[in-house]
Amino acid sequence: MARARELVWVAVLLSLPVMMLRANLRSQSDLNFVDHALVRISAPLQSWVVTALESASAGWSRYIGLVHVGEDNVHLRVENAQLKQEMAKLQDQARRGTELRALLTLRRELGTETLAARVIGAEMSSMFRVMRIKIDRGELEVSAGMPVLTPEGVVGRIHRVSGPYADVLLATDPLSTIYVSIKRTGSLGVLRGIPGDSRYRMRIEKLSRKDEIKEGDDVETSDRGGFPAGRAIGKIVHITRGDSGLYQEAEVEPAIDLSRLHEVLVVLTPQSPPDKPTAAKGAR
Amino acid sequence: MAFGRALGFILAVYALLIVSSAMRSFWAVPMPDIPLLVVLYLGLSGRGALSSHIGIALAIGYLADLLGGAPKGLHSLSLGLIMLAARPLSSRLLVQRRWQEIVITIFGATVHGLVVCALAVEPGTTTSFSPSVWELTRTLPMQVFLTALAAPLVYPLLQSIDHRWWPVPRGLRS
Repeated sequence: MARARELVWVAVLLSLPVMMLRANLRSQSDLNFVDHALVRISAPLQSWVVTALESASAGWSRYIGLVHVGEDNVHLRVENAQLKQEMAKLQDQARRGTELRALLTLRRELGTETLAARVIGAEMSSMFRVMRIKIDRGELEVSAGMPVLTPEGVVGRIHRVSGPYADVLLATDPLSTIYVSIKRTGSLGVLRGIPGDSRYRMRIEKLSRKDEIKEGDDVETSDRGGFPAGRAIGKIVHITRGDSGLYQEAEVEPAIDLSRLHEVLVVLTPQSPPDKPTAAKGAR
Repeated sequence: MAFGRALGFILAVYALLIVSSAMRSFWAVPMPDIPLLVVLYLGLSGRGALSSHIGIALAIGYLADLLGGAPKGLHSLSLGLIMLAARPLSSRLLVQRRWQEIVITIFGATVHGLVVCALAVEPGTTTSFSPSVWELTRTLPMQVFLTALAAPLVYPLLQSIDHRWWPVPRGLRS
C-alpha cells in the first residue's frame, strides 16, 4: 500500500514538469512570482561572482601575464632597433636625393661641363677640423686645380689625383688661394685659409684699403682663377686695417659646413685658367 | 529525507549554479553539469523515500531551468527521470572507487544529455532550446567529459554536506 502511494506521489510529481514543459515549449511563458524572486536574488550574486572573476582575470593578466610582456619587450626592442636603422638609412637616402637634386640644379646653372662626386673620406686635424676630403673621381675624370663646389658654395680645388680617387684642398686650407669679390662693393681680393684651431676661417688679402667693406658682407668667387663667378664663399666676420699700408684684410666664415660634405660637383672646364694668386696684380 | 538535508543540497546546487553561470558568461566554454552530479549523488547514495528524492530533483531542475534560461520543466523532468532511474540502482550498485564514480557519471551524463535533447524537441515546432543533431554531437561529448572530470571534486563536497545530516553515508565512496 505504502509502495503504491509512493508511486502515485512520484507520478504526480513527474507530471508537473511534464505539463510545465509542454506549456513552455510551445510559448515561453512569463516569469511568475517565485521566478521573479529567485532571479532578483540571483542577479546580484551572479554579478558579484563575475566581478570576482574579472578581478582574478585582471590580476592574472597584470602579474602572471607579464612573463609574456617581457618576451614582447625584447622583440619590440629588436624591432625598434631595426626600424631605427631603416629610418636612418631612408633619411640618408632622402638627404642624398636632396643633395643630388641641388647638384643637378647647380650643374644646369653653371652651364659648363661638370662631374658629380661623392665624398668618401676626410683628413682631420688634431682639433677634429677637416683639412682635406677625398672624392671618388680619379685620374681619368678629374685633374689637379679643378674647382669643387656644392650648391651652397665653394668647397675648394682638386689638389692631387691618385688612381681612382682625388684629394680636394679645402678653401679653408692655408695652401688654398681663390680669387674672390665682395658682392656689395665688387672689391676683389685673394682668399686663403687660416691655419690653427678647429674653426673654419679664411682671410681675404690684398683688399684695397679704399674699399668700404664691412662685417656681414657676402663674399663670392670672382671671374678669375678658374671658378665660376658668383659662387658663394662666405661672409666677412672681421676686418683688420693697419695704421698704414695699401691693403686691409677681412676674415671670412665659410658659407658651407665643410665638416659635413657628402656630394660635390667638380667643374671640369674652368671658366678661366687658374692663375697664380700670389701675383699682386690679381688683387684688383 | 530530512528537510535540512534537502535544503542543504538545494542551496549547494544553487550556489554552484550561480558560480557556473557566471563563469559561463565570463568564459564561453562548456561547464560541468552540476545539477546532474547532485542528482546522481542523491540517487545512488540511496537514503530516504523515492518521492522526496524526486521532489529534490525537480527543485534542482527548476533552478537549473531558471538560471540556465531553459524552458521551465525541461531539467526538472530530465533530472526527475534520472533520479527515478538512479534510485533503484542504488541497491544494486556500490560505487566506492573513484573510477567507478567517473564511469557512472559518464553514463549518467550521456543519458541525461540525450534525455534533455529528446524532451526539448517539440514535434511540429522549432524552439530556440532544441539542439540540432550536429550541435548535440559537438557539445555532448565535451559536456560529458567535463562532468566526469568534475565528479571526483563535487562528490566529496556533497558528502561533506551529507555528513552534517547523515553521519554514516552508504553510497558513493563511504
